[in-house]
Amino acid sequence: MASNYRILAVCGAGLATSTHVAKTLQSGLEKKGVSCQIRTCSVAESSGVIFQYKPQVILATVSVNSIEDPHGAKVYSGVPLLTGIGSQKLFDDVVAYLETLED
Amino acid sequence: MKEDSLFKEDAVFLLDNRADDTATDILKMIGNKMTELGYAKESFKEALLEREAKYPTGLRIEPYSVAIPHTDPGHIYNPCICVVKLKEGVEFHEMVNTQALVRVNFIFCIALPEGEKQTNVLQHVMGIAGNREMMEALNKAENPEEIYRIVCEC
Repeated sequence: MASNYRILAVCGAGLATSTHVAKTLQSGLEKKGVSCQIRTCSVAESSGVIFQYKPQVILATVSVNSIEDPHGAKVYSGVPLLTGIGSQKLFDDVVAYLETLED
Repeated sequence: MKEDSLFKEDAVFLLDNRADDTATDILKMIGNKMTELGYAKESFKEALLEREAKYPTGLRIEPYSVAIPHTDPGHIYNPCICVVKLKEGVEFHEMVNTQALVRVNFIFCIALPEGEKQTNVLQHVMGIAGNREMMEALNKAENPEEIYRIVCEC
């Protein structure tokens, strides 16, 4: 897993829930030996950012449906990274997903 | 977070609310208070309601579920985390899983103007919400002074 993956965290903007979620995921993945880039944006910006940045994984702290077109990225709820409940499972799920991308 | 605490003694409330109060009722109260106290602009209440409707902030967390309502920084004059303890839990829609409702006992309304470091504040609030000992102490607290003292200890 040497690849540098791209993760995008999307929030409603204002409180930077996405920044918190993105940083938590990044450090969680690093502990598992997976390096990734993180980027954050608001829902309003998300279409443009997804198109340009081409993330493999999107973490949302807003309704998943409000992300119009993830362009093939897998979308997860970022809530476990806020509450801590289920965060280990989320790290595992994301790592398992990223592993499927390697060929 | 000690000297420059964002918790303010006048922005801590223990609400003797009714079981049939809605999240909107509570958010209106918070909005009015925050404007009255000079932390937020007149526009704050409407912005808070609108945002909660669009991007709900209820979080299912042990031991007590919480909501973290907030708005864009443009509606804020002075930074503050308003803490509300509800006598009767009130239903909020859940963040992300927005169709679901969660009965919330504590509200941390995060009001930060432009340029304030927001991430650490959120981390701090979630640190409190996830701290069982502290939340149990808050649950036992009988007046706003006590709530204020507990949240400032963190």
